[in-house]
Amino acid sequence: MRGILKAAAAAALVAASTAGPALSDGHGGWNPEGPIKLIIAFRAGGGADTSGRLIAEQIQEKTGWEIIPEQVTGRGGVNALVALKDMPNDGSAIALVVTESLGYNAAGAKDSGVAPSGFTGLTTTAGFQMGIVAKSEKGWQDFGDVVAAAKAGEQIRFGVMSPKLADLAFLLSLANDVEFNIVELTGGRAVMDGVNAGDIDLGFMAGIQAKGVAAGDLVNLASALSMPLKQTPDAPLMSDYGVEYNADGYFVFVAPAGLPADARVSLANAIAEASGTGKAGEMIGAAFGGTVNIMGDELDALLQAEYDNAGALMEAAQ
Amino acid sequence: MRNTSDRWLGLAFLAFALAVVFVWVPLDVDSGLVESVRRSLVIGDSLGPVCAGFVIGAGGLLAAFRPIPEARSITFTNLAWVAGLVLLFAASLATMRYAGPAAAQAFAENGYRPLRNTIPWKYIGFILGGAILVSGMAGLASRRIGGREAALGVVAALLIALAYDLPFEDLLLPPNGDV
Repeated sequence: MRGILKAAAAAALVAASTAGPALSDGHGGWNPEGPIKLIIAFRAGGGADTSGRLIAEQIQEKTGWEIIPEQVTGRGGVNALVALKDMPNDGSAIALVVTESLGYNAAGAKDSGVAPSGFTGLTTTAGFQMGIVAKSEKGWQDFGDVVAAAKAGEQIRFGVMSPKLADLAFLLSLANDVEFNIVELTGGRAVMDGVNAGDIDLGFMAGIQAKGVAAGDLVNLASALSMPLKQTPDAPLMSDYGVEYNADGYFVFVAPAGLPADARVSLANAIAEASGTGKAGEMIGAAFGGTVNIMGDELDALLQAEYDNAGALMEAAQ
Repeated sequence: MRNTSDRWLGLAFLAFALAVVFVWVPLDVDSGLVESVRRSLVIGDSLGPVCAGFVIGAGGLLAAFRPIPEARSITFTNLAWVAGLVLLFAASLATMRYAGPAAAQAFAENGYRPLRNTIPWKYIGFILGGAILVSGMAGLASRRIGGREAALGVVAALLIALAYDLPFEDLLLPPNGDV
C-alpha cells in the first residue's frame, strides 16, 4: 500500500511539474532548465533598472525563457556581485551591473572577494553618456563657469553617485584650485532630483539628463567621458580642466565564473538582440545614446582592464 | 540571592559588547573608526557599532554591579519556553529550506532548482515550514497541540503563500530565491 501511495505521489508531482508550455529554442541551441534569476544592481524604477526589465521581458517573449528580476542594490553593484558569485554557473543566475562594479568598486571593496576572474561577462548593453550637469537657470555654460563661481566665493555642492565619481569631482577641485562640497547620493536619479530641486548645484548624470537637456532645463557643462557626449558634442572634456581620468563605462550583464560556452553565447546573444530592438532598444537609445554590445574576449579584456586600472585613480585621489 | 538574574543578565550583555567591539566589528567591517578619504577625515563604518558596543557594555556593567533588588529570577519554565520557541523556529526554517529540494531529489530528475517556480514544488517548503511555525506557536501559546492547531497552521500558510504568489509575477516564495 505504501509503495502504491509513493508511486501515485511521484506520478502526480511529475505530471504537475511537466505541465506547461515547452521552451522554444534559444539563441544558439542552449536553453535554461528552469527560471533565470536576474539580479539588478540598481534602484527600482531608475533608467538602468527599466532597461534591464525591458530586456528581460523581450527575451521572455522571444525565447520563452522565464526571467525573474530581483533588486540587490548597494556598494556600486558589489552587493549584487557578491550575491551572484556563489550561485550555480549553469545560466540560471545572471546580474546587471556596470563595468565600474567589477573595476573601481570591486577593487575598493577589499574583503568582498569580487574580481573579474569570479565572473563570466555576457555583454554590455549601453555606454554611459556621463556628463557634469547643472540646471540651465544657474546661467553656467560650461564647467569653466563653475570654476569661476567657486573662485568668486560661491559654495558649490557637487552631487555624485559612486566613490569613483567622488574621486573625479575631488580631482577636478584640486586641478582647478577650488573646493567643492561633494555630496554622495544613491543613483543618478537622486542626483538629477537634487539638481532640479536646487539641493545641489551640479552633478554627474549617466544619461538620465538627456530629456532635460533636450528641453533646455538642464545643461551638460562637460563630458565626463574620454570622448564628447553624443547629445552635446561641444561640451568640453574633463581633460580640458586638468583631469586625465574619466568615467567611461558600460552597463553589463554577467554570470558566475565557469559558465559553459554554449550558455554564454546563447545568453549574450539573447541579451544583445533584446537590447537593440523593441521597447528596450528605444529606451536605451533615448536614455543612453544607443545600444553598445561588447562581448566575448573583448569584454573579458575590458573588465580586467577596469579592475587593473582602478588603483591609479584611487591613489591620485588620496 | 534575589538579584542573581540581574547579575547574569549584566554579565551576558558585557560579554556581548566585548564580542561586538573586539570580534564582530574587526572581522566584519572593512573600515576603521575614522578614515582618510580624499585628504580629509571622515567617520568610518565601524565607529557606530563600536560606540553601540560601549553603551551596551556600560549597561551590562551597571546591571552586573548595581543589580535592582526587586529583579525577578529566571525560572526553568522561562528557559524551557524560550528553548521551545528557538527549536520551533529552527525546525520550521529547516523544513522550509529543505523540504522542496528533498521532494525533488526523490521524485524529479534534475533537482529542485529548475522547478523552484513551478507548481507544486514552489509551495512545498513554504507551506510545510509555515504550517509547522504557525501550528507550533499556537500550540505553545495554548499549551496544547492537536488537529485544530495543525489545520490552522496549514490554512494560514496556504493563504499567506497565495496572497504573495498570485498577485506578484516576479516574486519567489521563500526559500526559492536562495536555492
